[in-house]
Amino acid sequence: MILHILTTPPTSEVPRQVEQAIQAGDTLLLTEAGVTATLDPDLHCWTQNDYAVFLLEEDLVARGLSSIAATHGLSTVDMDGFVALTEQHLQSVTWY
Amino acid sequence: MDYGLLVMGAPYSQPAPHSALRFAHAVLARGHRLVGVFFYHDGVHNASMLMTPPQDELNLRDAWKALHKEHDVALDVCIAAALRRGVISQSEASRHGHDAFNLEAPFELTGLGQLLTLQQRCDRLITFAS
Repeated sequence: MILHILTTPPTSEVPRQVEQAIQAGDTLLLTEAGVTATLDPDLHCWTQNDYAVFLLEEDLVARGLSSIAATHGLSTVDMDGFVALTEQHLQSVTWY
Repeated sequence: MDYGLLVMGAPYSQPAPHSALRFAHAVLARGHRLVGVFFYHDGVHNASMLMTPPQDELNLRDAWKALHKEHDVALDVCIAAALRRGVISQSEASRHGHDAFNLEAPFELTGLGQLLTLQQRCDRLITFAS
């Protein structure tokens, strides 16, 4: 189980690289500009069931996207929850 | 748990240092130990003592310094990444014939070996890069 921390928006190449690397049972945490994935509910990460996906609440708030995430029923964690995810995963990879 | 952080983003141009700092405080608030922060690539600019943001904005260097003072967190800066970006201690400035320097304790210029030591010593090493 690996925690993948994605910091780039869906418009970059990086999310596609993550899709190739991520395995069933892993966790994807979207942070910084990565939270703009909220704006596209058709993205693969929102429609699959192989791994859990979370958005970092602080970065959603900073970009005015909290209500959109809530409307779509997307799961969020605060910074405390981010630390909790790192406790639960022995390894993490930051994609940037 | 023992945590280490790797910070590779420049202050005020990339969100990575702010994210790392908030994460650091959350780590400590959950009762973990933050052993050290390693600044690499553009992250070395976090150590510049000449950093002078407006008074009503967070001074990232001072925030890292406070973390060291209050929680004994080691602040290591990659010497190769720092020197080529003009982030330099007094002794290195003297050695290279410069009149000025902009890095002082509690930040320490170290080699990449220190990053490996941090990784081996910690239960978790989290990278912050943007």
